[in-house]
Amino acid sequence: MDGQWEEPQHAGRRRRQPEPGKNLIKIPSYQEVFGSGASSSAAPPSYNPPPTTAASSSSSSSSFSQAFSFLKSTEFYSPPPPPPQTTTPRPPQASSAAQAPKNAILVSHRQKGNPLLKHIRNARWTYADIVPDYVLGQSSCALYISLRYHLLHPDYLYYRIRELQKNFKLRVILCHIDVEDVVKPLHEVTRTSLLHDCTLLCGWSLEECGRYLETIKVYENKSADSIREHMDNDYLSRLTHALTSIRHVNKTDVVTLGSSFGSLSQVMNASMEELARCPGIGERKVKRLHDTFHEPFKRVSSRPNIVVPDTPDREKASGQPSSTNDGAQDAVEKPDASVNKKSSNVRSALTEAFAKYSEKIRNQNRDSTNVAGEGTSKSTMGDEKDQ
Amino acid sequence: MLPFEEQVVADLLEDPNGGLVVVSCGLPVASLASAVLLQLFHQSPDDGCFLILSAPEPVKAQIRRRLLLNSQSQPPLLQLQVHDVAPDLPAHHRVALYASRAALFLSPRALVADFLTSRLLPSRVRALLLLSAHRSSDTSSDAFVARLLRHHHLLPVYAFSDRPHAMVSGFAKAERAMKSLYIRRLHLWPRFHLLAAADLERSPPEVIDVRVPMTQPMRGIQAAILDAMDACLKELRRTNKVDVEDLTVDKGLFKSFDEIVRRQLDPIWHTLGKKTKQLVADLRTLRKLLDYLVRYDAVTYLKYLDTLRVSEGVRSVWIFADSSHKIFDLSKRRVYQVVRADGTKVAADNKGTPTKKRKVARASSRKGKETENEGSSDNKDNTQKVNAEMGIVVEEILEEAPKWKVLRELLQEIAEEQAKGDGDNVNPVHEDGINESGIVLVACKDERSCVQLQECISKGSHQVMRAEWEKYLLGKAELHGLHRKNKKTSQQLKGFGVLDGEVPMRSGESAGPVSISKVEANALLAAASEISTVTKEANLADDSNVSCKKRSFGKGKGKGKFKKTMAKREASKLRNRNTTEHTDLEVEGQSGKTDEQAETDACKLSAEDDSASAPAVDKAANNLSAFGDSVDTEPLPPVQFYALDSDQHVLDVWKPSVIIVYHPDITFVREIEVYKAENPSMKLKVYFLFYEDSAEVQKFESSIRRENEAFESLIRQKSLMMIPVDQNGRCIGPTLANEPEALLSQNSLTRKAGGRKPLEKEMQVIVDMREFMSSLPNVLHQKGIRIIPVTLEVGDYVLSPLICVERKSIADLFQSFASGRLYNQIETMVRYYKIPVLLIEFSQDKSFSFQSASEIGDDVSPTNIISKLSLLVLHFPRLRIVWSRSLHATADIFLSLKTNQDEPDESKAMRVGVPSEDGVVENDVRAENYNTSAIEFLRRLPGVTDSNYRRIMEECNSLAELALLPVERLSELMGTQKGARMLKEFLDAKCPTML
Repeated sequence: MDGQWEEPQHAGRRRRQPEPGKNLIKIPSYQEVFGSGASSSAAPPSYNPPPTTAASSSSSSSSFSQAFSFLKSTEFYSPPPPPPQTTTPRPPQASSAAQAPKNAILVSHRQKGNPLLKHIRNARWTYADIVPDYVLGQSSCALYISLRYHLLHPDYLYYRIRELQKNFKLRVILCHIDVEDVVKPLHEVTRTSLLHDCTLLCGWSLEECGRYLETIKVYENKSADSIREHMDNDYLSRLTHALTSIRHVNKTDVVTLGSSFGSLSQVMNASMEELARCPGIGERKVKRLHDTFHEPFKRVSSRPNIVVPDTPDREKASGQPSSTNDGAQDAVEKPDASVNKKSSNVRSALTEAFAKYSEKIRNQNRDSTNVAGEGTSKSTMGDEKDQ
Repeated sequence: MLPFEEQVVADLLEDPNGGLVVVSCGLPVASLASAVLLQLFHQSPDDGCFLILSAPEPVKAQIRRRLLLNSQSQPPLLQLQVHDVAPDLPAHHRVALYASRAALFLSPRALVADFLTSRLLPSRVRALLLLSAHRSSDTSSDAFVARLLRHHHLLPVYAFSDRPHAMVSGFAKAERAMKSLYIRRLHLWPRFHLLAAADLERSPPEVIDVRVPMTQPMRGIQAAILDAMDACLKELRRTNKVDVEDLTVDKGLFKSFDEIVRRQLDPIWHTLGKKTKQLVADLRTLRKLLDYLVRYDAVTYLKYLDTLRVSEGVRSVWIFADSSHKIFDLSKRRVYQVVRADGTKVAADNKGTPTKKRKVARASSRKGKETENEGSSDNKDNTQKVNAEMGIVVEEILEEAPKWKVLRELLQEIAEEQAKGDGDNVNPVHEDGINESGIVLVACKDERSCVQLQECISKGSHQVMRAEWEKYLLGKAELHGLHRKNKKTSQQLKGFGVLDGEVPMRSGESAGPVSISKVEANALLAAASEISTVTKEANLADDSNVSCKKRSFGKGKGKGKFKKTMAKREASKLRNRNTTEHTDLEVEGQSGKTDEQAETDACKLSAEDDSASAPAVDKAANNLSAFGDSVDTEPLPPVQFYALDSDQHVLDVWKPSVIIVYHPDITFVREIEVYKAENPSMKLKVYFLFYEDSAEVQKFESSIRRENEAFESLIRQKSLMMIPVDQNGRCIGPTLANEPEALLSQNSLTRKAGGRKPLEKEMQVIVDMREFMSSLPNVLHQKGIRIIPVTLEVGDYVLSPLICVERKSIADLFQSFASGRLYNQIETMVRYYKIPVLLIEFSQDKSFSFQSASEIGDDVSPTNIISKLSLLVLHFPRLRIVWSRSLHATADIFLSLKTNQDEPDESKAMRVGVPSEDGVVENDVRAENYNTSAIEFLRRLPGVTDSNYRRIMEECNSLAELALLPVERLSELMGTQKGARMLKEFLDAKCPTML
């Protein structure tokens, strides 16, 4: 797989020299396990054509997984022998991994040569024998794929996800978007990751992909307060944040409104003529501001009527999809009957609310007409009266 | 109706399928639509209702008025009624209106929901009218309505547009609009059409073109702004990413220029540097400055420039250039000038331009000379008082807009002509008009200009300029006081160093608030500063001593009462001198009142202001003429002021005999032509006021040229257009959509071997009602998916019993992360569904990227979008994220997700609909949730959280009511004392935002 990684990149030629060394190192381990496995694994590097490469990649991955499973079983049964093997080839990395395994990103050996590793700067990383490409925490891991590689090897992602089985709680597919026409390959990657319980994160550059990995590592035990509601202490920032929620209102308008009226409550209670006198505030902005501040929320009378019929059983109705999945048919029938009864009660309450609402809407229309106070609206009122 | 309008209607009604009509802006779309409705109604009065979509409010009012006039001459059974169906009407009211044979104004969102829930059947619709066809595309709501109608029943679609340049923006816009609306005919009616031109030019109005020369500073400011725009355009051209042909200063004068540049840069927006993005924003700012130069007076323009410097000074590129120095300097020169007490100029301002400007100012008006006389008298007084001071004095210039003087001269001239006309017994000619001599209509760009011109005519232009100047000075002094309290003076002074001319000015002004506070406190022995002294001296010349007492009273009590004093002072100007003693008594009485009584007086004053503004709102001619006579004792004709931005089409209502186009606009010119053509016997005279050699003239002429080019392009497109035979919608959808469904059902029957029948035959998606504001339900319906609109509490789309989708566009995603709303939404989705999906939907035209490479930075930043997504993913491991390139990609993903679901999941989807039936009942309540803008604003206020904002909405009727509640009431509503105090402080805190 490392060889295949190097093929799409220009650095592949330079990487060929270490390949024999790696293979030579790995061959003794294979020879220790199988004699014939070594001969089959020696075949892939020598063949260049894509179809044979694809076939050899599948065979190589299968043989590698089998070897890996045997290694696992070996480790499981006899703990003493594996530590000497891992410590012998790379003593410094092994010692660092042993000292602080939780503070470093564990990188799979198959990710060697990936330029993404250069952009992991805010967190430490080290190589390790792991099934996913990156282990970011006790229960989180990541697989890396680029869309260009996916176009060359459409089934790669599926097999990699299948190798993970059900081992991690958070499984991230880190997708590097490096092609122009992204619709079809991204569609396939999205479907594969979604149907196999993986979370897809897209990055448009290697810096972005690296930032995702190190952020997930750094924020492993961070609370979610920063993506909950937070407030800045700067008054102007909060005022701008609030007022720019109205469409067409920009920062200059916020400064203009603030300097003209003095405080937000006075802006809220200003009339349309007063708003129109500010420089830079046109008719559309005046109308939007005035409607936002003076139009009622229009939930006043209907909401108490909705809240009153609610019962604890009614609140569970929102959770019916999950309860429906779990419950039997008999259980399903009973909630249906209760829902029918409650819906009739709700409907009777709502019909009363609608009668009140229609009256209020008419009053509000008249009030809005009076507030506008324009000649055309007066003729409109005349037309309505004639009708 | 003009003959060419009848021809338009006849051509349009030839094809029973409907058609698209593109007319010049200003030509009457409303009368065309009314005529179409009436003819269709009289052809077959027993068919269904007429649906009218995307009608602006002025067009709506015009259609209603025309149909009312027509129905008065008809028997009751043949009257076509008009109803405005608001989206917040209850459902049964809407059903009743659908059953009538009336013309209905609707919103497409409510209409789509009613179609999908079968409240309105397509067979009950007679015709569909679209009045803003230039906004239609294959993903818009109008096209959705058209497809739903065409799906089952063939009925005509009549589309109108008066935006020809919007029709040629983009690639084959007109053709794509016709395709999305299933229309096969395109009718083009430009102003230069033979029939239209013949009708409009048969009896043209008398037109007089008045060219007003700009003052020297205005010309300098305009040249500087154009230089800055040219520099920005050259900088943009240097980036090699924009098409060079469109980048000229001439095209930069229009609003659409921003759209052109933005559309070219959107696909690569994430790769641009900050400088290029800032250049695009600066071009818009400079265009606004150029527009405001001819619309605002000198003091307001200077105030706007100060506002710009505060809000954009750090980021803008143009504000540090040389031409911006000219803009700020010349704008200041129009208002005031800093000189020494002995009359010589400050060294920093020692240039040749001020000398020329003073000469021009002297020649411009006599009032300027009066101002200089006052200045010289002030200098004499100050020589004795300010010997120990810096010796810097502010000399007021207060340059008046040249059009003001010309407008007054025109009004006097019109009055003389009308007097002569009355003497010559020309009254019989005006039988159609008003019995009095006709109204003079002055058309301005916006309401603000109307109010200011009205004040100029009634009070005199010098008074208006002085009032603005005093507001400006007092605002600056008060802000400096606030800065002193906040100890931010040093920071402000650093900011002022950017412009050379500002430094001595700031040092002079910084002493202002200190001296004002000294005078108020009577604590220190030093003399008042130059500004305060000059202000008081000038006021002494204009007002009595009472004004000074009022001002000190206002200053001592606070800003609110200061406004009261200002209102009183303005009122005192209108009274005679004899009431001065009465005012003295009032002032003395006020000094002894308590705060509560002062608040009561403030309420009374506000009531008086309302009563004072009522005549202005009514715009009664008699009141204005009486008002003018009482103040200026000059006979002026009755004047009506009309704001072009309000778009009210007032010509038919007021029937003026003279029109003064103060701010020229091509749409209004067309309206005048149509009005004159419809009333050929009426006498009409039109004056155009242009600033000579200005961007105003250039913009007006370019707009005519641009419209003609748009029509030529449309004519060329029409000759090359190839329209499929089946574009009327006979062959769409059902066949293609049914075949795969039939195959699936056959397979399921075979697989079940006579077991349980499948409950559904076609794919379906449960969609939240609020999602119909976006185009995704439209695209899903195009793919053949059945849309079930319900009100969902959790999520936006339900694809299967296991899959729920929350859709976020890019801007919405950033806002939801910032406000914390997204966390709550994902939390509830994870709780109720096994596979919660967050759909991040990119726009088709924009770049497929979150941010540019320069925004990533070197460290892990909590505010970066990557950090927020990582945190969200860490806290919700089951959350799936779908990254969609466009709406169509989203629909494909939905289809693929649904095809991989097992058959029992499809049957369980109906059970998800069981609470949705209650949702259907709730649907009407949600539809009444009308003011989403206010709710969004409320949730952004500090102290308002997801737990308490609903209660606030229940108890307060609107945001304005919320602002008036006391803290105790707020604490009851919000549940916490701290939150209530925080909110109250936020609402009542002063905004220290100006320099």
